[in-house]
Amino acid sequence: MKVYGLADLSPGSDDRAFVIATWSSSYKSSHFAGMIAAEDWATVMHAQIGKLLDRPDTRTLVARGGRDFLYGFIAGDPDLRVTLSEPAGGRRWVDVEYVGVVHYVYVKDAFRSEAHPDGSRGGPRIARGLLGALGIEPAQPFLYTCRTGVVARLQEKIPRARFAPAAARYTNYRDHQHEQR
Amino acid sequence: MSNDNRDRPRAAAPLLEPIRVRELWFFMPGGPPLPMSNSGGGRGKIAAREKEGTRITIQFEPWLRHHRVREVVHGKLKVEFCIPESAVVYVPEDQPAEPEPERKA
Repeated sequence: MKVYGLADLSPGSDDRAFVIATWSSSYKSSHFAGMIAAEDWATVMHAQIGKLLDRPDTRTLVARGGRDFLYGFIAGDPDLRVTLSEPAGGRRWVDVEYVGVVHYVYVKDAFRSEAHPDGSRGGPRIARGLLGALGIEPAQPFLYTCRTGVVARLQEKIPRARFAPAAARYTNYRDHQHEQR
Repeated sequence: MSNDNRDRPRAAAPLLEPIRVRELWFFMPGGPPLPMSNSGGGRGKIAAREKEGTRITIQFEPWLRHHRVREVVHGKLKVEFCIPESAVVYVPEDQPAEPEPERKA
């Protein structure tokens, strides 16, 4: 049975170790992971992920099966609200309000529910449950800060999500919206 | 000051549905008998049910970060209270009732 709730992020806790280790290792192969030497990856990323988790605005939730088993986690800030301009065809632009930012969603490989090539869906849909628990509506506009191959494959499930790594880099993103120039 | 920016069309804000919950657990399932918070009043769990005219519904409202519990007796609201997210873990209603075998990743 899966239960959803807040992660215990106290130093040395099992939840914290799980979140940092799985986030770091699964993000390492992303094309967007940055220019960090492989031998320094864990040192750099464990500290960076820890900083993000410890921000007062970041909420981290886990999908748990009993006390000793974790299916996955989500980290993000559902309260972030930003309005960004998007091209709307021709020379028109439209302002879109993005509600919430997801820093990372991770589900153990054996429990993922990616659609089969024939279109049918299998699996327990844990990532969707985690998004709901955080207060993110997958079909609506929201920001995400870590892009991986899995995100690219699931783009049709989150059609209005926008990649905005600056929301993780800056603590004052809401005020300054550091976009790429 | 120009009104151009203010007059630009804006996309509608998203509407969130509450998550329908089957059970709330005040203790970690399978864990030590320690409540996650002292707000549980000593009870172990609350389950949504409908029996003999009494209907208990639970919904998680992520935008308020709490679970809303309602007890309706013969169509009349008898009890309604909210439990903070941090005090419990929840089992969503759409999850099968039978425990599924655990697979280690």
